[in-house]
Amino acid sequence: MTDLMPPRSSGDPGPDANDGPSGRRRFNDGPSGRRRFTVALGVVAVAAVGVVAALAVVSSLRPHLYTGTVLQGDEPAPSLAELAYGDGTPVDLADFDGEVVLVFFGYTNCPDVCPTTMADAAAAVGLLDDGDAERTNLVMVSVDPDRDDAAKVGEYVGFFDPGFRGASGPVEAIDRAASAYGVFYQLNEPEADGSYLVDHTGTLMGIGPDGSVRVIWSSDVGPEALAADIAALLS
Amino acid sequence: MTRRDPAAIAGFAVALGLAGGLTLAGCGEATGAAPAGLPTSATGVRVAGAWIRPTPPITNVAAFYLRVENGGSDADRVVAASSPRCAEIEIHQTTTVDGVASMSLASDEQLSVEPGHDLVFEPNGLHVMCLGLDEPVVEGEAVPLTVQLEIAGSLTVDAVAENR
Repeated sequence: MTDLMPPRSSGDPGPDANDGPSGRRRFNDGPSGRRRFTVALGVVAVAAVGVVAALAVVSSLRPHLYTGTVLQGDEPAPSLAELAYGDGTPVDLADFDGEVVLVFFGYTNCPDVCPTTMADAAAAVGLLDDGDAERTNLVMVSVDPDRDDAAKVGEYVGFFDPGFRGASGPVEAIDRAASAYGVFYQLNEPEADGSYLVDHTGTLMGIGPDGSVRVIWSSDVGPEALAADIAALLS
Repeated sequence: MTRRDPAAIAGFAVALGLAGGLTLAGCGEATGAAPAGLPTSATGVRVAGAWIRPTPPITNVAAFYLRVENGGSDADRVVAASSPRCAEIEIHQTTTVDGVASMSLASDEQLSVEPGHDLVFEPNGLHVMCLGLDEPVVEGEAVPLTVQLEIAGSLTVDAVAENR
């Protein structure tokens, strides 16, 4: 503790000098008062460092409380290999080993849920530190292949984050993938102009670094909670 | 439904007391929630906080979000909306059941706004769907939107394009 004290000045006459002219001892006025103050400051600083360190240890030991629904089990995530990206490359989840992949089933003519979810996912990636952001991927699968080819889906998600990828494929392959991921979708009756809406499961599915589906988020999860969950998956 | 905060309610009460009735200026100053100059109907209804999410170039749909604030003394109802940027507009309610999101035309009940209440259009809920968007919505631009109410009539605002 003594090393935190300032060196005494050579002219320091000692503790008695602390008594003021009136003989009344004034707090924190003379050199020894300053010394006590410095010691106290040192104690506080050391204690503060200790508290911060202890909190860091405690928070690193405490399990992260996920906002999304956590899935148990370690079976590998269902394959998406029957689907392809815009360049024709099949979707190979092994490309993301050791990383997080967010899988979303949606469509590009979707005005509300899909853009909200993609914007939130992009914002979440922006909240992650660089290392975690680098290891976070997103694949959006179209549930509307008549209107969305893979290139279109890729362009759609790329608008929200250039790293996001889009996939599509034959209806049968999409049906199999959707069903494997527990995703429901159905096309609504077209309106007079031929446009139609699609009901679809709007959840984001998170494949963890081990390659299994670990967390499912509802579409209103929000960027902060999503980022915290992704960081926990990657830690 | 968003309720006004206590200060706003107090301010509203003061405005009522002083003026002996609802004044539009009093209402606007009391809530302080939106910049001055927002169009307010003669019946005390206004549209505030309108925004639209920027859109990827390959889509021609978008959604407007906003708040209809009924500072008047009569219930009102949103009946339609329009924008020069949209070939067509539908007012939709997204409903999520067991994770499945579906959209349907909002019902009369869902579009009613009682006096002193706000009708909130927000992501994953009530939204004004723009179909046949003429060109992509670019962040920062202002997109005109006219909201038509049964009693208050038409109110036109600029929806700010921003990612939230």
